Amino acid sequence: MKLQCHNLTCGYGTRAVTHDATLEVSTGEVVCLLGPNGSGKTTLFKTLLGFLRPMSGTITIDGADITRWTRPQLAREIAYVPQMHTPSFPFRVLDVVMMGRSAHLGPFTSPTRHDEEISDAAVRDAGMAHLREKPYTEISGGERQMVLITRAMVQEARLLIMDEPTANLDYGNQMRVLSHIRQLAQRGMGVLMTTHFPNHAFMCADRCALMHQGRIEATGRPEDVITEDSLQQLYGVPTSIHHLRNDTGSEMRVCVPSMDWKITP
Amino acid sequence: MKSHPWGVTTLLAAVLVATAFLSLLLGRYPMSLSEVLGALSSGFTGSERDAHSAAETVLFNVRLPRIIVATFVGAALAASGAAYQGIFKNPMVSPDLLGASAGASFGVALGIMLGFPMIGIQLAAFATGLLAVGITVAISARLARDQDSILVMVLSGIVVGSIFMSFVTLIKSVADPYSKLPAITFWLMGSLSGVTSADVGLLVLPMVIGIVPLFLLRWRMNVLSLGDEEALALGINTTRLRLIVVASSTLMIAASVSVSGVVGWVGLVIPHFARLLVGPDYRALLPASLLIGGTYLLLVDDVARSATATEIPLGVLTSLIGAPFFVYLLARVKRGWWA
Repeated sequence: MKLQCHNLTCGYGTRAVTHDATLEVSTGEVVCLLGPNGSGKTTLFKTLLGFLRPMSGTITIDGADITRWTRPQLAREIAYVPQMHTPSFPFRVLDVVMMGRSAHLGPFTSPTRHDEEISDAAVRDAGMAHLREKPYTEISGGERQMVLITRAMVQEARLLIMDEPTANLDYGNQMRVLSHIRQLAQRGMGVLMTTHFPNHAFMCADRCALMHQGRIEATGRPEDVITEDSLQQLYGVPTSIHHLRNDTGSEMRVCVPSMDWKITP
Repeated sequence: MKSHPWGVTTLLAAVLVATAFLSLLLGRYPMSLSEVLGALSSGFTGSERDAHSAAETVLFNVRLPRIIVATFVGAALAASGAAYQGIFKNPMVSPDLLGASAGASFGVALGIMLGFPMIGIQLAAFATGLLAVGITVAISARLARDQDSILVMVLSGIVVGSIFMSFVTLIKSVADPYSKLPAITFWLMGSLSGVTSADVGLLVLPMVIGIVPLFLLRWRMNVLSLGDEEALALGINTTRLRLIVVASSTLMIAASVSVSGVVGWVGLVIPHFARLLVGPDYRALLPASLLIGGTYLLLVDDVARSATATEIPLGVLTSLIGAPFFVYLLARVKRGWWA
């Protein structure tokens, strides 16, 4: 399955924020969108998810125009993990996960035992059985991110859009979430995510797109797209890219900012 | 659902029934327990006598209708408040704070002045109540920034409410001072003292039409309380859901305003109390709000009609309880509003 947008221009009212964006995500791969603040990543996501109407261009899944699909229809194909937010009500973790079943319920029905079993199994699979009855407002940021990902799982969509899944997480949780995202792709999901860390793209992306001032400047394999030149252009920071081998023997690329950190007296 | 607090819900229902029964014993006309039981049984089994006893008359024509109406109005206000708080993701709103009650009051005053029949008055109250909420939501949507949206919505509601209340005053100033004005003024005070069994009939239909959609959609209201974008991405048609919920709640508000006048603050206080007892899940919160709201207004009305020799207007008592509670909420809303 493949989600594609072609020459997509999107924005608010008549003000275009992104121009002629062309991008695709297939099931089984992780695509990372990199770009400075205000480059239009979030606007593009909102349009792909149908929160905003495209100003021009097309969005398709396997060739079918999805801009006219109903909400439940869309939700059964694309799930969304929003940026971490301040939760408002203290719903139980299990209830938050179960909300992922909404697209599979009739308009006037509440979740059934079957939906509860699916959600319960997903919570256990994610290793969160001990959090099942806890209020969502009282668990840690990393746990909350995992709850939102688990909710996307019970939604049973095959494409996942994640807005900065590592934002506001500590180092340990960042790595755990990234490796979880890799596993999702191995299990056949297609993931489109944004990140502010080029290193994260090196770790978990199959493909990468660079966005700058509302335009997608380049797409391709991370090692081809994330270069010293492109990072300088994107973020205005001179950066060198180093090749390393970590303790498990994997080849890695790492970005190192070329700045003088020594404070001269 | 395993997690549904059936025990609490059952207990709340029992408390409501017990309160209703005890309320039958209260009033100007002294009645003992056995008299009440006797009148109830002969009243319900169909009396063999031609002349009803005085006890029966008081019970069936005065007390029972009043108890039913108090329960319905309290339940309706509390359920609408719970619904409003969820769909606007705002702990500080209730139908009276968003202008729905003021809007509906304008409809009722207009209806009384123009000599509408009761059903016409209710429809007018529904239309103007909906209009008022619509204006409030439109104003706050235009003004709100992310951080202060909660207070902006409350302030917009106050603005719209005061506009509609000044329309009510305008109507009072032009209404016939001998027939219409006393009717409007008396009804505005928020009292159940004039309630008859006809009012019960008028209240039942709009209550049922209003509460059934809320019950059917109570799971989706959970999802909507996460925020619009998340609800959309989970497959909820948020615009349609919000419209149905606002319309259903406002219908219940309009019906209760047209019978009892403006009884403020119930819709703010009770849902918070219910949330403390059963949690935020609307599958349990909605029934709990209904039951607690009914019990609460019944108790307040008992005080209103029996504490002093002359009746205290119901709206006065609910404001005296509700307004301090609002200040308490203001104090803690920054820290999170779930407790």
